[in-house]
Amino acid sequence: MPWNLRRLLAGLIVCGTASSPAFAVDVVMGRSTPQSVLDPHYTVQPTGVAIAPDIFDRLVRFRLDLQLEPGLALSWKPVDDLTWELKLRPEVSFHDGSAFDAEDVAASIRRAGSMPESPSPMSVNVGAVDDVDVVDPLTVRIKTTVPTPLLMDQIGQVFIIPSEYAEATTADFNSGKAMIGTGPYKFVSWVPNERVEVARFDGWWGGEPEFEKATMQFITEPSSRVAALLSGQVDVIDAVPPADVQTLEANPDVDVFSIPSVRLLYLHLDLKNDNSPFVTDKNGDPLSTNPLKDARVRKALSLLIDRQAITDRILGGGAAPAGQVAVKGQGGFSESLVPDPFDPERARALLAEAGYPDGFGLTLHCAVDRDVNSPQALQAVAQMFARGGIKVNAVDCQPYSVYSGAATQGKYSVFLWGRNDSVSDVTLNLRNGYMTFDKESGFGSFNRGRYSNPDFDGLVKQALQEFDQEKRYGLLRQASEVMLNDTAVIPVYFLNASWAAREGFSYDANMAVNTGLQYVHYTGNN
Amino acid sequence: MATWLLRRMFQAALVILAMTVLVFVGVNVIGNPVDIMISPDATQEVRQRAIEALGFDQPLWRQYLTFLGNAVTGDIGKSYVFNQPALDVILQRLPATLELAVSALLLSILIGLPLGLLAGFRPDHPTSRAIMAGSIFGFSLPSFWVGLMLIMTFSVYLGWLPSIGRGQTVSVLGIEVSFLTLDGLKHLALPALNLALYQISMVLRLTRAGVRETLHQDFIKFARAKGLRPRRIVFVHVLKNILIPIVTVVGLGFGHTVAFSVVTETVFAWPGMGKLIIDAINVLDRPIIVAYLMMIVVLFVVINLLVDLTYTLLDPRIRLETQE
Amino acid sequence: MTNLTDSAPVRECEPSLFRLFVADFIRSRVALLGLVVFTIIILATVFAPLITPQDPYDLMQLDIMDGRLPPGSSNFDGSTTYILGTDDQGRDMFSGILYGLRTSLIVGVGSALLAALVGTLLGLVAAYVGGRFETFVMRLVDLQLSFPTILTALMILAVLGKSVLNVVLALVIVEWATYARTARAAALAERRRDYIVAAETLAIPSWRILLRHLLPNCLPSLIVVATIQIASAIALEATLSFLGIGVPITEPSLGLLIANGYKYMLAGDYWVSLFPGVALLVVIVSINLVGDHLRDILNPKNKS
Repeated sequence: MPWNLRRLLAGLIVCGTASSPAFAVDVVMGRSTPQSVLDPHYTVQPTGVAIAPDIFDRLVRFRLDLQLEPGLALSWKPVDDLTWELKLRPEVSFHDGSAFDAEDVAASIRRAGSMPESPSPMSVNVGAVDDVDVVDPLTVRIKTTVPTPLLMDQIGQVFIIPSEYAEATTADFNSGKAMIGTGPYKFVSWVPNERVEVARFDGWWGGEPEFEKATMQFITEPSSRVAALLSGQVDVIDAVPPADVQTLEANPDVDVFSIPSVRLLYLHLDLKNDNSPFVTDKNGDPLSTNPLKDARVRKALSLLIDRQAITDRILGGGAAPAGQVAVKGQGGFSESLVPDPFDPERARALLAEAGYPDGFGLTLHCAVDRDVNSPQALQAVAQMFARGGIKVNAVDCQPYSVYSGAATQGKYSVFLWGRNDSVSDVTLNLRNGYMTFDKESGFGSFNRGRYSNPDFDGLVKQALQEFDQEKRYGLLRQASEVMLNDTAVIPVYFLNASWAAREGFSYDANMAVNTGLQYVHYTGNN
Repeated sequence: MATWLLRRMFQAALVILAMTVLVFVGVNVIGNPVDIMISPDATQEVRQRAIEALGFDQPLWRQYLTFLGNAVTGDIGKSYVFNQPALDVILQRLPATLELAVSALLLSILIGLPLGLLAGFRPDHPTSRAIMAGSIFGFSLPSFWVGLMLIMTFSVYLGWLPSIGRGQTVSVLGIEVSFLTLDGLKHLALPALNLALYQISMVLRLTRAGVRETLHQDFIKFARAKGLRPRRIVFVHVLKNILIPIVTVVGLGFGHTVAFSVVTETVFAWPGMGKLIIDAINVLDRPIIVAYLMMIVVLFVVINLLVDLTYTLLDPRIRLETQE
Repeated sequence: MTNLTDSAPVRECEPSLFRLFVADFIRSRVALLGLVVFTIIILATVFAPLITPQDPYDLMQLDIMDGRLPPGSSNFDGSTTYILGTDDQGRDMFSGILYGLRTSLIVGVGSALLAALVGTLLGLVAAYVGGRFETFVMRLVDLQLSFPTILTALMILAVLGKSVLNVVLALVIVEWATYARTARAAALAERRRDYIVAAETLAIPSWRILLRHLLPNCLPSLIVVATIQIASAIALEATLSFLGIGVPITEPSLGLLIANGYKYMLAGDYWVSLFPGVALLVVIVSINLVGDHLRDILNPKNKS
């Protein structure tokens, strides 16, 4: 088989010339997300940006722990509340040989904001940008409409293309013509839904990329991905299913690389309706009041959940109990917010105190096709609720296409939701998810449960304008504590992100759940 | 004959029109793609702009009229996911699926028909019983399950066949095919077998049923009495008589195979249309759904047409619908 | 049966026909075996609550701490033995299989029979009447066959909500077309045969020709299709449930049990998926054995 032969040859060369670092090693990656469009500015969905980070560089790079480090921008600082100044990396060239400069940055940011006909536009990252001034070839000033401390996190997501391609169409990218970046790998070919092939770019500013050629094969079905790894058709896979982590770890030919990720699964609670659609009394009849509006009831529900049991049994250890929305290492993480313990006694007492000594009835909702094992986890939560005296009328898991709309329109009462941050702190998460829903200001756009607390709103508003990182993190920490003391939502667990590689390869597990060639290393064929 | 064909075309156009209305209404009751895909970091403003840019703020009838207006000029719309004309996306993936479906069809006839004949002529022979029992596996085990077992056996343990993608393809008249290279054939083997299993059992069982029935009929008894050679009886008299239901089911099955190859394509990471349509449904990518369905309706109409024509060839007593 | 009405001659045949039927089944040992197994399965599912050690649909009786235990394990206090192991929710597989069979049989057999009824009738009438009606039905068939099952089911879910009945409805909508096409094909072949022409010249009412002459002659192909369709309806229901458009996940059907266990196959926890698979296979084999034999009995051309 060709892959084995290649490995063998690579091995022979290693043995023969152990001192020479440069030899042809290829890698085949099995990826869970297919590439649907090559245009790196069309969407922020993974189907649009899965392979882009290896071909295009960005202004910043995200470290394994989510924090920023210089990318194409060497340094950045706020000049005033509405202006940032960026110093760019000199002597960087594109795959076509042209030099990178400030014009390319300006063109890329403008282009990213100009594709409205996308259901998930890149403009989400450049929405605050008012204008981009090119000061000199290696300096740009970015004017924002509102004070934007998190600007680099956001525009740092934008892939930089040569300014000559500012007018390129999606078709130009798909044909490969405009697939010109400054990244470590050059685009070679794309078979839609099947694979992308890239080759080493020798002129990369970051050093010599490790692989001569790389193929990214799209394998959406988890079991098939694992089987492809086991049979040696691919060298590295992402999104290892929790059920298979232990099996793979036991396999001598394969290593697994895991890290707790920013992907949080939590229970959203309907705090808006007085008669919530899926809350009933014990007989299944509608209730005139909504018990979920009572913070004691919410806390009681949280105390009924044995998080450790869920992460151990349902996720095979591939998750960590959660007590807040920020993961450790992320700005806004609070040491004092520990996951609620499993305490049915206290839960019962709280329910009785709130006037529901015998509990009430609930239907729980979730999406089937979103997070691995989340329907199983929700069923486990249902078991625990049932034992705590809550009558679980049903656990209804639906396709995300139906679920997402209904959840956003407030048609559910208690539902399991997954979210991950793409930035280094929780500012945007708190702003969109928990600030009082207000169409005018645009705050709370995804506050599905309609939690509202003026103290919390005040703290987040301050944080949104605070340029000093330490102070901002402090404000976010306080805000998180306010919100979780109210049990605005019930955090359940943070999913682990896992990759697996065959002997001879390793992977840098990262919290942002990025899959890319830059994280793959060749360790030799032992 | 010509008017008959013309009428069929006209009817097909009506079917397509009915289908587009169904899709618009259907997708609209399920939801909209912005809610499904929008980034959780998006502000309300970004969300609202996306909804307006894609026209979801318009009443449904206006969205539909806009679509019809564009469709008349040959523009079915741009996919929300691919940002390409939906028809292009579909056509790009058609060859992969057709290749898989044709291979499965061939397998089902090459395996199903002879085994069915054997089981029909010697119903009590142990081999026949084994064949019939085996055929039950073909349609009773979920195909994702069988697919994984095939991968585990032939790919992981034995290491004989690859399980991912199409492998090396060659371009024939601008269409990429994989059955012309050894590597491509290897890649084709497992998914084609997985997809064909159901069809094989169907063909096998219908053939057997047909043979059993035909053998009792007078003309066969007569032919036997007349001393015709068994081979001639089988290939001329029996086969001709049992082909009608088989052609129907195979014809339908082919359409089904094309339309619903989603499971096989997912398990074997085969870049075809089945995977495409399920993804499109998941994110309510309406232009893709519409374009795909138009294509499938046309395919079914053509298949039915061919099937009906085959009937008249096989049995001249059958009339074409409007020749009454 | 007593013969009181004027249709006495017909009634009189019934007991003897029934006896013939039984005798016929007894003669074919394989078919009898199928019938016996099928009967046992039906009884087991009907009386499932009395046989099973656990109500697998009652969340109170499940404990994830007992999840994915291999066959023969017992729960923490040793009061229950899971002879076929448990799934990831701590659901006893044996209990789950019996309860799941109920749902699968209701959905599979129910939808296949309903679809057969609707489809056969439309197909036969279309073939017999011809003209506009035939065209209309056949184009409806085209439309239906090209419409993805999943989209149909999603639309029903979005409009009518989730229930077992709606799953049956979705499957009927999906499957009637296959019967219609098969019935029409078979009927077209029969339509021009001499005995139908003869019946027509004898001025026998159309409905009688349809039911008494056309239908019996189409039955053999239809039964082949139906026995397979029951199996595929069960499998389709599994796929739909897997995608969240079928039965509730807390009340899994046989197909959903298989689908849920699928992801543990590579990890070596075979029982979660294998035992429901074997159960499904046994059911389908027995249905087929009975179906094959029924086809031979009912086939008017096989009468010797």
